[in-house]
Amino acid sequence: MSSIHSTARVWSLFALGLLLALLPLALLAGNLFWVNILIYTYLFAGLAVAWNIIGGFGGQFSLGHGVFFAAGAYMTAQLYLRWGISPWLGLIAPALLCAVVGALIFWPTFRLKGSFFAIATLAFNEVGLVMANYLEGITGGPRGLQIPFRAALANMIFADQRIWALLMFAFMALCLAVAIMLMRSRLGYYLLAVREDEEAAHAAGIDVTRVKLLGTALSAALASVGGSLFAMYVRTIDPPTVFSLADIGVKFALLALIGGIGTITGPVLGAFLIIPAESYLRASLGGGLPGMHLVVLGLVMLLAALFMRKGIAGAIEAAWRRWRRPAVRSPQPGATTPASEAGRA
Amino acid sequence: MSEPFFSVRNVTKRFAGLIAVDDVSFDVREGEIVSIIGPNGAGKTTLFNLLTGQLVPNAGEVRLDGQVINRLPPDRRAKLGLGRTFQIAKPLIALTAIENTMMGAFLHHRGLRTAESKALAVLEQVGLAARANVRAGELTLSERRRLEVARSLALEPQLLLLDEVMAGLNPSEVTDSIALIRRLRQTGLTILLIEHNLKVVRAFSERVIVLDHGAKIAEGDAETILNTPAVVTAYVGQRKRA
Repeated sequence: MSSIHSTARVWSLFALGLLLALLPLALLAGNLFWVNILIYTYLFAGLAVAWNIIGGFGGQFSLGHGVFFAAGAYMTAQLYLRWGISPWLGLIAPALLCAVVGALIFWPTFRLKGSFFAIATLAFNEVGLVMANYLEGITGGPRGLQIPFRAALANMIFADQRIWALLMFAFMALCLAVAIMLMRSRLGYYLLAVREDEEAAHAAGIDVTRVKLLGTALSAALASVGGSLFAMYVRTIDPPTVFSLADIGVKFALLALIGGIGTITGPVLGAFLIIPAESYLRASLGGGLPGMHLVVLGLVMLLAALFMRKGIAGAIEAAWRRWRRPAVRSPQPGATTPASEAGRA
Repeated sequence: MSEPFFSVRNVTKRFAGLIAVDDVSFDVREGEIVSIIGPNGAGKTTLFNLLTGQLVPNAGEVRLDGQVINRLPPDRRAKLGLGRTFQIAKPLIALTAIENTMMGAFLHHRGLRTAESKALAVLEQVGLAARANVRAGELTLSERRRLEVARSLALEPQLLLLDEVMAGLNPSEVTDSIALIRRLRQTGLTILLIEHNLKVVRAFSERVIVLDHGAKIAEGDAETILNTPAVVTAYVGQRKRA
C-alpha cells in the first residue's frame, strides 16, 4: 500500500478545510469587529504557511521574513502611488524581486545552523528597519506612506470589509495550495531531507544549497504578496509597523510553532488560535491594563511550548493515532486488545 | 589493461600538523569487492570522506570511470554513481523508512510514485519492506544500518562505499549483512568497504587494503594479508592489547 495519499483525497481535504475556514466569516459577516479580526487571521495564516515552507519544512528558522513582507508592502504602495499601477499587478514585481534578491541575501547565512541562522536573519529585519527610516525617497521615511481611500476594484480598495476578508481568505488558500503541491513534489521531500541531516542529504545526491535557495525564494515571494495585501488593506505603512518583530517578523514563526511547525495545517491552526485571541484580548484587557493581552498570550505560548512540542497539529495527530491504533491492530491474531492498547497509550 | 573503474592516486589529507591520509593509492576494478582495514585512527574514515567528497584532499587525484572527481561536492559525486553509507548511521529520523529511501530514489526518479516504487523495491532488497512506514527514529540499530544501505542503493550507484555497516551488529545480523552484500555484488555492483570485523573481510576473501597511520602498508588477497607480519603487528597486535 502506498504511503502517499491520492491526489483526489488530498485536494478534497483541502476543499473541506477551506469550507471550515470560511464558516466563521459566514457566521460573523455582520459584525465589523470580528470581520476585521478574520481579515488578519486569514492574512497571517497565509503568511505563516509561507514562512513554514523554508522555516518548517526546510528547517531554516528565519526571523527575517519581515523584510519580504515590508518589501511587498512598500513596493506595491509606491507603484500605485507614483505610477498609478494597479496593486493587482503591483504585487507581482516585489514577489519576483523578493524571490531572487531574498534568496541571494539569505545565501551567505545558509552556512549558519540553528539559532545562529535565526539571529543572522533577525539582523536583516533590523537593517531593513534602519534603511526604511533612512531612504525617504522610497519609503517616505519615518512618516511612512499613506494611500488615499479611493474605493475601486482596480485600486484594490474596498468599502466593504467582507470583500477584504474574502481576498485574504483567497491568499491563505493560495499559500496552502502552494505548500500542498510543494510537499507532493521532489523539492518538498528534499527540503525535509535538508532539515533532517544536511550531510546525509548531500550523500543522497541533493544539492543542499540549491534546495535552500529554492525554498527561500518560494517562501519569500508569498510573504511579499502578503505584505502587498496588508499595505492596501491598512493604507498606512511606516517602518515600525512593517518591520515590527512582535507583530510581523517573529510572528510568522510563532504562529507556525504553536500550530505545528513543518506541517501543512499547523500554521493555519496557529493563526486561527492566536490572532483572534490576541485581538480580542487587546480589545477587552487593553483598556484597563495596557499590555495585559501580551502577558496572557505569553502564557499561552509558554504552555504550548511546554505541553505541545509539536504544536496543535501534532497534538491532534497524536490523538488521532491513539484513536485509530486499536481498531487497526485488533483483527490480527495474538494482537493486544483495544482496551490494553488504550490503557498503555 | 584499460583505465581502472575507480582509481585513487597519491591522495593526502593533512589536518594542521597531522597527516591523516598519507599518499594512498589503489584501484578498484568493476564488479570487485575491496575491503579497507586498519586499526582505530588509521585514517579509514578520513580516506572514505575524501573519496565521497565530505573532505577535499590536499594532494592526489580520485577518478571514477575516467572522470576526475576529487574536487566535486558529495551530491555531484552521488550523481556520477557513487553511493555511500555513514559509519554513524544518519537516518532522517522524523521520516519513515520509505521516505528516507525515496530521498535517494529521487535522483533518477523525479515523480513521487515512481520514486516510491523504486524505494519499496530497494527496501525489499535489504529486508526492510515490512518496516517501510515506520519512522526511522523507531528502527533498531541493525535496521538503521540497512536503511542507510537502502538510501544509497536507491541512488542506483555504480560504486557503493560502505563504512563499517556491520559495527555493533550481533553475529546473526552480521551473517545477514554478509549475505546482503553478496547479493548486491551479484547484481554487478562494485563495492568498497571499510571493515573492522576480520570475519567479514575473510567472508569476501578478495582484495584487502591495510591502512596504518594514514599510509597504505599492505594490499593483497585476504588470506595473505591477514598473515603478513606488518599487518599482524599494526592491526591484530593492536586488538590484543585492547
